[in-house]
Amino acid sequence: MIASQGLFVAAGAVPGACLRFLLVNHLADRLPSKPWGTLVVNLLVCFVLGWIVPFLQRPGVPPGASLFLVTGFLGSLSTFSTLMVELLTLRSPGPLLRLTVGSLVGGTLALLAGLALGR
Amino acid sequence: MGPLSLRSLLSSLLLVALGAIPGSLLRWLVDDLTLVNLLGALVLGWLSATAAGRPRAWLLVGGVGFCGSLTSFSGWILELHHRVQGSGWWVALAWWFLELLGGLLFAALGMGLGRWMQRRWPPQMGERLRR
Repeated sequence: MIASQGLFVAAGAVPGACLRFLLVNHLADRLPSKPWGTLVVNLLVCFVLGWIVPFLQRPGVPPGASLFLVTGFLGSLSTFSTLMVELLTLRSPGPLLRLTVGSLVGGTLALLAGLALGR
Repeated sequence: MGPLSLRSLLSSLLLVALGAIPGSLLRWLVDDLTLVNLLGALVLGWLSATAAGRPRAWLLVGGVGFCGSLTSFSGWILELHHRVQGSGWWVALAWWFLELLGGLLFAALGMGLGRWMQRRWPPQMGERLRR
């Protein structure tokens, strides 16, 4: 691992995290509760990830591209920690179950849709 | 958008970026998603519980920036997908749920520790006013 690889990761992470911040705040006003904003962004990332990962494995694609786009950008755009804390703040089992199942099913479907699109 | 709002927004983005750089680098270097996801859940739980009375950089740098970038939901789902292909649905889902429970547990531990620390050492009045 060399410094330039780290630069690719960090260079992708900055816009990824900033975009997550902007999107979640933007969606927070439009969705019933804050956790769903995080989920929407997470699902979007799963979709893009499904599409982009096979693409990046093709010959001729520079190694920095994956570090920047996947590890850096997409890795920072989606978040696990926020989802965990948000799940803990949900008091009633209904929303808790919906958010958990929604994450699992939504995330998987989004990833599969992205993979299907990429083919 | 007024000048104050724009400046506030830009400074927020800068703070987020400040946390995102070490968070993403750590995730890349450690190369163990389960570990960083659990660690991020722990840290975010702690930051959330200790945020009251602290400047907004606390959550922007640490929470949105660092923990948000350290952890990855999409990577978690991708791992699930790979495990399904390698070990079938039941094993993959079992791992997924274990990681979910682990994440919740670690976040709760972080929160519990944070709440205890807030009671034990409450933040200064000056910081409360600053926020």
